[in-house]
Amino acid sequence: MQKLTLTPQSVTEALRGQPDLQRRETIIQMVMLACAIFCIFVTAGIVFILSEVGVQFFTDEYFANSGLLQRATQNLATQAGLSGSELNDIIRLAVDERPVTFSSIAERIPNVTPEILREAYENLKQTTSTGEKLWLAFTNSVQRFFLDNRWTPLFASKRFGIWPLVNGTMLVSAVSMAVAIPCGLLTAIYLSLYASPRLFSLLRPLVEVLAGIPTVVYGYFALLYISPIIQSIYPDAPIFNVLSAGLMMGVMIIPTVSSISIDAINAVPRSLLDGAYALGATKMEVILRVVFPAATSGIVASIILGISRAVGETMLVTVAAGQQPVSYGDTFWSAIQAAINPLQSMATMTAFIAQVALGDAPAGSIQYKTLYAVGLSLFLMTMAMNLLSQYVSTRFREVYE
Amino acid sequence: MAVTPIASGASRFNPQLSKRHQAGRIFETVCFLGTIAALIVLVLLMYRVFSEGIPRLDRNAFLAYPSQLNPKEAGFRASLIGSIMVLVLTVVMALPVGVGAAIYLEEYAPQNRFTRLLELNIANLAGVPSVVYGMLGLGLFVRLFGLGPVVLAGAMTMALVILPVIIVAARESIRAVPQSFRQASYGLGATRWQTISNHVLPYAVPGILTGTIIAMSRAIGDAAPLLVVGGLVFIQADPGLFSRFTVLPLQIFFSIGQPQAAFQELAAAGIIILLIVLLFLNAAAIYIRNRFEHRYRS
Repeated sequence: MQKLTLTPQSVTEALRGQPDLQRRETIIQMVMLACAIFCIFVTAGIVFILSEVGVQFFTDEYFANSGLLQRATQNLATQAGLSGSELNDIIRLAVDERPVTFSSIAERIPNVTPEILREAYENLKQTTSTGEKLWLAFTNSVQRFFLDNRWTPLFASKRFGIWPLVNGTMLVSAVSMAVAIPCGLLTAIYLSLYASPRLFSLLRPLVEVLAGIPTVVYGYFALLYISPIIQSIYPDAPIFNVLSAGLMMGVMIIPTVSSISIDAINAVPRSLLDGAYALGATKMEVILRVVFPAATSGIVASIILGISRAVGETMLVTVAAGQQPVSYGDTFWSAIQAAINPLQSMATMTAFIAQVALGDAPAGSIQYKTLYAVGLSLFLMTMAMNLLSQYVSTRFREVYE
Repeated sequence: MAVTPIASGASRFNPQLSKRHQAGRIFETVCFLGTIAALIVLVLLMYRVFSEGIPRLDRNAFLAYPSQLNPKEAGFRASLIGSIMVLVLTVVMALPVGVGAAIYLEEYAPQNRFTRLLELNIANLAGVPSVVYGMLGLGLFVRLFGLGPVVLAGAMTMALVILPVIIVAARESIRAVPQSFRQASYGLGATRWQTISNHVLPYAVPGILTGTIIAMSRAIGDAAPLLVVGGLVFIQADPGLFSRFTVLPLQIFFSIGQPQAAFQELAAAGIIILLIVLLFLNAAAIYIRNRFEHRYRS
């Protein structure tokens, strides 16, 4: 085919003589560019809003105070001759400035009353510089956010360990992927390799419908229809449980996994299949040994995208998985058991966000700030997964000539 | 004439064809079952919702305001109006920007690093959980702009949610316009914008519309961003542009959470309304796609 020499650039050249028209063209192009750049502003807006309040969380006075209290406690305790694990246990009590905390710490240190402790704490509060307070707040909050194992920021006795929420998110995602991966892949294989064109054009939109149903409807199904079935099998299971939410979420994610996998399977060149058939392989063998390995990058990308959807899903888990962050118990085994048991109610990161949003936390309060700390974690997690998905699908793509 | 075996039977290749074909048939059946299993589950669940909700789907369900005390008389009037207002505003705001961005990326953008950044950015926006958009809306529109949790703030938030969906759909349909159209237009001396507005866009409109309708069905069903923005309230009046609001999925969400059985029935009725609206939207999308798809193909 002969290449045309007429390009948009040559048209622009021709417009040189008509400045009015040229100006209009430039303006329109600028408007379109502005629309595209708007999307960058949206991302920037998300990052800005989340990290602005998120940073406020990690530098909140609450944490500075608890850091100072820890210091005061440590000073008094070492003066009283305590050391080792006993000392650490006492320091761990110093979390906030409620009177209960002061008296419980004072009880553990010989010859110290709550008043003495409070005095030492107030002294420290006045002598410490602002910069050091900020640093204390930062270290203290990071420590408590990532190292604590309980999440109770809405209670009087606040704990800020994010892991119970991450655990909930992971467990719901794992249950949902246990449904979505096999069903999604079988669907992709059947639709792209077995189904007749008629059946394909009938079934594919039907499967896509699964993704179009509002998630609150899936929540209704999970809570009112699936949970009772689960309870009839396991009478101890609560009505809000991870299993029912995860099963329904799996159904919801099937199209995400299947449609990208279908594209990946269709991208495998025909000659590869023909070659395998010519060697005498049956259809199943061709699918499992030739098509599947060749489409792996797309399939893995679709699975990662599915997980990312599961992690970000809100209404379904809020309705069906409950609002109770998992508590791990005292022993190692009870913690493991609590972490992987789907027959319990478990709050996820998104469920916590919904819970705070429902409770109408006042702006500037520590509860409001935890909302954004959790949102930032959620955003970073899903973004990492989306980037990974894109990376896998482009980097590990098998290229055939 | 006797045939002498070259090797012993053990080392000879035995194709075992019937066994392998049988395995293949079983595999095909498993694949088929895997495909329809979820659909069957869905049909069963739908049947239950419809049998529970249909009796509740009377005049009141559409015309009455929500009620916390009297679920048997309550209806979805306020949330239906809220949903429609949010939906219309959302599309009005998201469609021009989305199509503009798509036109830029397909028709104007040079092949450089900045364009790749734009594309990567849009792909990532499409993957951001909708609840995060809700937090953006809460922080930016509700608090920073001082709009409060009103219809406009909800619609602006929702517009951001569906923006990437519209961009992706619009780009695909603009890309599908044959290059010869553009060449012919340039050949007649048309400028770039004349080419786009007179030839590329009219051809791409059905695809853009289909994508927009799909984005609309996402906007009408997605409750999470509006929940965060503050769209769950009891209102006993029709909402205006700057009044507090609620939407259909959020009222369903609230009803599910109530202990009385009458609320569950109300939720079932609301789900039926929501699903019927979605069915209409999707049917419209399929109709437009089929009606206009081959118009230009000679």
